[in-house]
Parts: sequence; C-alpha cells; structure tokens
Amino acid sequence: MDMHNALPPSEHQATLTRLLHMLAVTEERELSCEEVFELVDYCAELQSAGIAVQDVLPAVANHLRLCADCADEYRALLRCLGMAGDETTATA
Amino acid sequence: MTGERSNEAWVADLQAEGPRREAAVRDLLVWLERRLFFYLRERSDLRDLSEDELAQMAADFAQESVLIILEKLDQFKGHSKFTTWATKIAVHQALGELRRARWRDVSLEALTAEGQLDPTFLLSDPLTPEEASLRRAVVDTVMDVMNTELSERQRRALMARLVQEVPIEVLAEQMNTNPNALYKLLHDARKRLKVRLQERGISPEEVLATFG
Ligand SMILES: [Zn+2]
Repeated sequence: MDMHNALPPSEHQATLTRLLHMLAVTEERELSCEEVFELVDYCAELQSAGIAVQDVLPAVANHLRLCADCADEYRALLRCLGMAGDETTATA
Repeated sequence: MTGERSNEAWVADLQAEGPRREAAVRDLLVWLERRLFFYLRERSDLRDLSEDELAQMAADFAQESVLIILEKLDQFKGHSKFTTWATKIAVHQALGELRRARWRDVSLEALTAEGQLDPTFLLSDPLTPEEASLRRAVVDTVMDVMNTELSERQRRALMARLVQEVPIEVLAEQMNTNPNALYKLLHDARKRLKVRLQERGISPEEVLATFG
C-alpha cells in the first residue's frame, strides 16, 4: 500500500479510530443488514417499552454499532414512531 | 383510523377489495406520509428544502412505500404492530433513496482511489512512549494485514467504508456485488484484522483509550 497520499493527518486518525471501533465490536458470527432489517421493528417496540435491545438481541445491537446505514435507519424509525433518541448507534 | 385497526384488520383490509381496501390504503398512506414528513424536516441535509418540497418528498416516499408494503404483505409475521412494520419499510425505502441520490454521481474510482492509512500521524500527538509504541504496533499490524492478507477488493471496500463511509448498498452496486456478499467480504476482513491484533496482545478498546 502506498504510504504517500493526500489525506490530512486528522483524517488518518479518524479512519483508524473508525476501524478500531469496528474491530472492537467485530464478532465471529454477525447478523447481515438483511437479517437486522427483519428484526428492527420488533427492536423499536422493545426499546419504546424501556427494554434495551442489547439485553434481548445483542447481535442486533452489535450490528447497529458497526453499520452506519442500519443505525441511521433505526434512528429514523424511532423518530418516525415518536420515540426519542437511542443509545444503540453506530460509531462508524 | 389507523389507531383502531388490529394487525389482523390491517392485513385483511389491505387484502380486501373495493372501498374497504381503498380506505385502508389511504389510512396507511396518511400515516406514513405524516411520519416521513416530520422525520425529513429534522434532517440537516434537507434544511434548504421548503415545507412544500419536504411534503412532496414525504408524499412520494409514502406512495412508493405503500406499493412495496402491499407486495410484501404476506411476509408480515406480526412480531410488531403492523404500522411499525410498515414504517420500517418506508424508512428503508426513503433513506435508501436519499443515500443513492447523495452518492449517485460518485464513481468507484473516486470512492476508493484515496485513503491509505498513513502511520506518520502517530508522531504528531504528544504521547507517552508506551502509547507511541502501541499505536505504532497497531498501524504496523493493520498495514501488514491490508498489504499481505486482504484481497484487493477487501482493501478497497474497507477503505471506502472507513474513509468516506460509503453506504453498503452503494458500494455493492459499484463493485458489482450485492450488499450481503459485500458485508461478508468486509466481515472477513475485520475478523482477520482483529485476530492479527489479538495475536500481538492488542485490544482495540485499549488503543481507543489512548485517543482520548
Ligand atoms: Zn447494516
């Protein structure tokens, strides 16, 4: 890999930080976006009942920390359903 | 009204014919349109749109979503309220379109051309010798795995995700694959990186702590 490139140093740090956040929650077995999509309506209702997704479906919570796309959609779903912000959001 | 329909009633009404179905479709449309509108209005990237434009956008998304929902009706298993399930599909549709629009004119080359990790930034922070050597070890390991163990596709996909946060579906299309296959490709790459770091006794959490 070429070491010389145009990214400013702050970008490198941001990139590495994102990678480390991802690796921190990387598991041997993970759910795909499609599998998560099947479960998010159930999760949103759990969360609205005050139950942490992490406690019931940790694999979904994990995916939401890894995948910015699914995390965005989950946040949007909660907003559309009139639920306040959530703690289960992607770091990347 | 939406609040009065049970899950069974929603499905039955939407599968019925004539006025009963039309009423249910209309109620669903109104429900989705209203929620999408409030959501879109909160999005910072749509700040420049007028209320009318946002309303039109919400109406279009709701319209498209209802068609998808009707098509998928037999997949509704009742694990949530029908309206929650329908909203999930509408949100997926709306955000998917917004993502695709945002990335429409960006070529794969532009998505992946830039963005190599450069370890020299490590020296820019004031660090204890322990922190400096930890960071050095992390970058060396990451670079080593990227260069010698990951495929060209894995490397490109990972950097596009990390540097520019390209959405999976956008990147999948650009790389002539599907989101599931791309997710697996990236998952394999992450697992490999994590194992190699662990072999050196490095935990990602520990390194993140040094970034403060
Ligand atoms: Zn995902």
